Amino acid sequence: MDIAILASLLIFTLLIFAGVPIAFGFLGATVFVVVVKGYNPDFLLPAGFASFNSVTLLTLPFFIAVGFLVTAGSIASRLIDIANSVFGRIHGGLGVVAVVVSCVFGAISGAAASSVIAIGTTMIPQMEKRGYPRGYSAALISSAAVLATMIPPSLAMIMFAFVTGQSVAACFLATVGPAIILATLFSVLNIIMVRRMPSVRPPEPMTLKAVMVDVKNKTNPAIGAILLPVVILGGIYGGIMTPTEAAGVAVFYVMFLSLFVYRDMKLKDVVVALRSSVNSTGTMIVMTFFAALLGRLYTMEQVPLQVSDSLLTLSSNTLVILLLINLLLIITGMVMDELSAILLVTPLLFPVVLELGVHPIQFAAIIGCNLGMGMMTPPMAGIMYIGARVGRVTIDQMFKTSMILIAFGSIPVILITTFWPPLSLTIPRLLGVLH
Amino acid sequence: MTTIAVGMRRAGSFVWDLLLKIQRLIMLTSIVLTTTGIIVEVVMRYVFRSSFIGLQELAAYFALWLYFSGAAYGTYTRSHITADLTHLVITKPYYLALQKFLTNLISCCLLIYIIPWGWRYFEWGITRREQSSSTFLGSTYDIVFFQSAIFYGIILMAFYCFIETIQWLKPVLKLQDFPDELMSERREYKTWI
Repeated sequence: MDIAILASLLIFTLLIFAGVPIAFGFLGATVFVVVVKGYNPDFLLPAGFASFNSVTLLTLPFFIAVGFLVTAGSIASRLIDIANSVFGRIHGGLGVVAVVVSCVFGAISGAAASSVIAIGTTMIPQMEKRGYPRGYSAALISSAAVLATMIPPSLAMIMFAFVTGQSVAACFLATVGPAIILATLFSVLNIIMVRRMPSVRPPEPMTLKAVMVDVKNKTNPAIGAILLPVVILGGIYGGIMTPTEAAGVAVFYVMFLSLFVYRDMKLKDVVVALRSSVNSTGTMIVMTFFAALLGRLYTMEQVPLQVSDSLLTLSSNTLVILLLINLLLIITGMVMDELSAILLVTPLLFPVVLELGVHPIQFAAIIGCNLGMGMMTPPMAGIMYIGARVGRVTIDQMFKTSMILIAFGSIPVILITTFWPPLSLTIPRLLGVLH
Repeated sequence: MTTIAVGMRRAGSFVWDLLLKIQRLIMLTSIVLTTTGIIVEVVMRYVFRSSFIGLQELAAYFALWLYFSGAAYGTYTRSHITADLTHLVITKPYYLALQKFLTNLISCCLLIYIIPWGWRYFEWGITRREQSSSTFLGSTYDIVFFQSAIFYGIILMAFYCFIETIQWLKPVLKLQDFPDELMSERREYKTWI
């Protein structure tokens, strides 16, 4: 590969590890390539503008806004109440509640950080009362938050679809199968671990009738919240709305619910939540923007083709190449957040996987699972740091639980997703978004 | 402090606050307009069995202001995504301040370097009067207003990076501990704008 291109990658790596924001790391590499290769930069911003006035990309700010609004209101605690009334009756049930609510929350916001904050704030004190160690609760909730990025709508999948030009609806569904298996494994692992903790008291026994009454009582005040995923997913897969329209409707729906039905937010709270969501969106999009500029220069230098050739000369065995790709994705996920990682590795690896005969939608699932695991793995385990902050614990108190969940939950799911295409392709095909 | 210095400080503070208020207003307006544009399209389709052709594309153009005003505000709030690993090796406050100063300086220089790119694009937009790729209410429209969002974003990001660099320069030059508030994200106040 060209020495200047390798140097630009090195500059990017050095800049971001030194603490320069990732967006400006991409910019640094872009400026370097422009200067060294003598490009006239005047075509870059128009090219960026042309790609970013995209209706599809609007999905991102809307779902981020939904995440901020839901976190600021009481929707998360209402969902937790219902899940608690259903699963809270079994020994270790509160851990299962955390996993299930993360899935439901994922079907609303698609952002792992919102999920940890919204669920962790409510659930960690409840779990502590029941005898769960705080470190364990924080680790479980942080790990389960990864499910929020795999259940549609997923911000990571929106970005993948944007970068590769695939259908957003199909990419959303690619990670559903792996997410269901991961949620099941996390729940089972939680029950096994909790049964070895003498401090965790089993719940008081209740008759089936009492449980049913409890479920009914908790469901009534949360009907509006339960309908939110139905509005979003039903709208998209019922053919009623595009993902962008569903996201826009979800913003209005949550605002209406919080202001007029639950009355748990004032108009000023809504304004602040919207503003925070624009702030968050801006930081993500500007990173994408500069990465797109760098990507354009790399394409002109035929870098994806060179990466593809280099990887394919390493081995002719598809299995080996796929394992190498998984390893690369996990390492990338360990050192940067999922959106930056998608922007960096997807354009480079996409031609390779197509050459290997991997379906683009299956690759979306492989990326989603690997980067999800990266978010839970130090040193850059962003989601674990948020979990530690919410749970007021140190990372080492969470470490053992996280490693168990990674070893017996995430890694098996990654391997199944990589080597068994029907796991990621069946659901999109069944719902008619993939032919 | 002399009267002139006090006056200048007050004026600076006024301009700083005004700039933030304008930014917040742009952020709020852009998200409200883009969301409304999309909702109106859905309502038109299912309630009025009609359509505003090109409304979604117009919303997507407005989103450029959402993205770049958010990015500029993110530089102010220090909430840009980082993959900083230096805290694992740097523990002394002075070296931490030095690292922050240098990373802000690099960001600032990079952004200043591309200001001419942004300006030339803005200038090109004004002279060429590029038209939208789709029609709205039957005709195409000038998109220079949306193109200018990029220039606006670059200028403000460079400005806030510059301020941040200056703030870190002080503890670096005076070999003193830095205020803790510089290390964390700025708080989002519960204000309308």
